Amino acid sequence: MDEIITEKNYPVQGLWILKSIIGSLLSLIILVPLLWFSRFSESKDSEISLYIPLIIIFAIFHFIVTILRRATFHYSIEGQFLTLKQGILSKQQRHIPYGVIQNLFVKQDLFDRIFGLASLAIENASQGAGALAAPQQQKVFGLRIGNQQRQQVEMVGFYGNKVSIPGLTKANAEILKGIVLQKMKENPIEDSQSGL
Amino acid sequence: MQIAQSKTREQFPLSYKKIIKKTMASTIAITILLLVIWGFLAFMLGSIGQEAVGWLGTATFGIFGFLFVVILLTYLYQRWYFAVYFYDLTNDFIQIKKGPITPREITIPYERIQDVYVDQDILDRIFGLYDVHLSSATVSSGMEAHIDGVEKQAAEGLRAVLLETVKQRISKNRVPNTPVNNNPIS
Repeated sequence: MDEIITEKNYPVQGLWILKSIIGSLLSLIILVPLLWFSRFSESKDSEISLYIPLIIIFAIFHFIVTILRRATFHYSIEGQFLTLKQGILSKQQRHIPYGVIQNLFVKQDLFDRIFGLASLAIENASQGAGALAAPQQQKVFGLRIGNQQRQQVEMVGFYGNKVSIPGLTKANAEILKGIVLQKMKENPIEDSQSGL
Repeated sequence: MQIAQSKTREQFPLSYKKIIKKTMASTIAITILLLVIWGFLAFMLGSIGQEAVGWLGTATFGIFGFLFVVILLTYLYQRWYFAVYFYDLTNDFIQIKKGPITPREITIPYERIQDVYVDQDILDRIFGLYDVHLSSATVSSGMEAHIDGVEKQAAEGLRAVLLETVKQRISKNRVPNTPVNNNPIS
C-alpha cells in the first residue's frame, strides 16, 4: 500500500452532522409545539417563548461548530505513523506509531444502525491530551450498575488516548479497520513488553 | 437462531446456561424493584381505607403480569445476545463482538494484552460459569474485552491459549514479521 489513505478515501458522512446535533433538534421539536399550545392558554407563559430563541441560537451554533469540526479533522494513514490533525481555532497534530495502538473499536448505536453508519475508535495507552478518568463500576448479580461511560454522541477527532472517527459507512469502517490492522501487523514495535 | 460461529467459539463454546443466568440476574433485579413498588402501593392504598383494598388485588395482578412479560422479553433478548456473541482468536488479533441491536466490536493485538484474569460472580458460582477478561491498557478494553459465560474447561483452555500466545508474542526471540497478506483478520 504505497498511497496514503486520508479522510478523502473514507470520509465522515454528512449524515453524522445530523446525528451530532440531534439533541438540539429534539429539544426544538418538543418545545415548539409547547409554545404553540401556550398561545391558546390564558396565562401569559413568557418563559417558554424566552427559551425557544435561546435554543435555536444554540442549535445553529452547535451546527456550525460541528460542520467546522468535521471539515478541520484530517487523518492520514502513512507509512510509519497515523497522522491526525484537528482544531478550528487552535490546531493540533498527533502522530501515532502503529505499534503502540492498543485496540480498535468499532461500534454502532441505534442511529448508526438505522442509517448504516459506524464509528471507529483507535486507542493507545497515552496519558496526554487530557485522558479521561476511569468510570466507576459495580457489579450486582452480574448486572452492571453505576455510571457507565456513555457519551451520547461520539465527537470527531482525538482526545485523551482515543482517536475517534465517527460517521463512517459500515463498509468503510470495516475497510479502514482492516487497513489499520494490516499496518499494525507490519509495524510491530521491537521491545514489545507492554507498549506503555 | 443462527449462532455466530468462529473457530474459537467451536473450540471453547459459550455455555447455554449463560442465557438462564442472565435472565435470572435481571429477574432478580426487576423483582426487587417491583416488590418495592408493590409495597409502596400496598402502604398507600391501605392508608386510604377499606374500599381501596380491592384495588390492591388488581395492582398485584398487574405487577405480576408485567413481571412475566418482562422476564419473557429478557429471555428472548438474552437468546439473541447469545446467538450474536462473537469471539475469535486469530493469528494476530483477538476480536470480540457483542450486542444484537447496537453492535460493539473490539480488536486487540496479542502484544498489547496486559493481563488475563478469570472471575466468577455469585450467580456464576451457582451455574458453574466463568468470565475471562483480557484487557489492554485502555479503559474501553477493560469494559468490552471479556468473554463471559464459559464453563470451567473452556475457561481454562481460553486462558492457556491466550497466555501461551501472549508469551510467544512478547518474548525477545519471537519470529519476525509474519508474511504480509491482504486480509489481516480471518
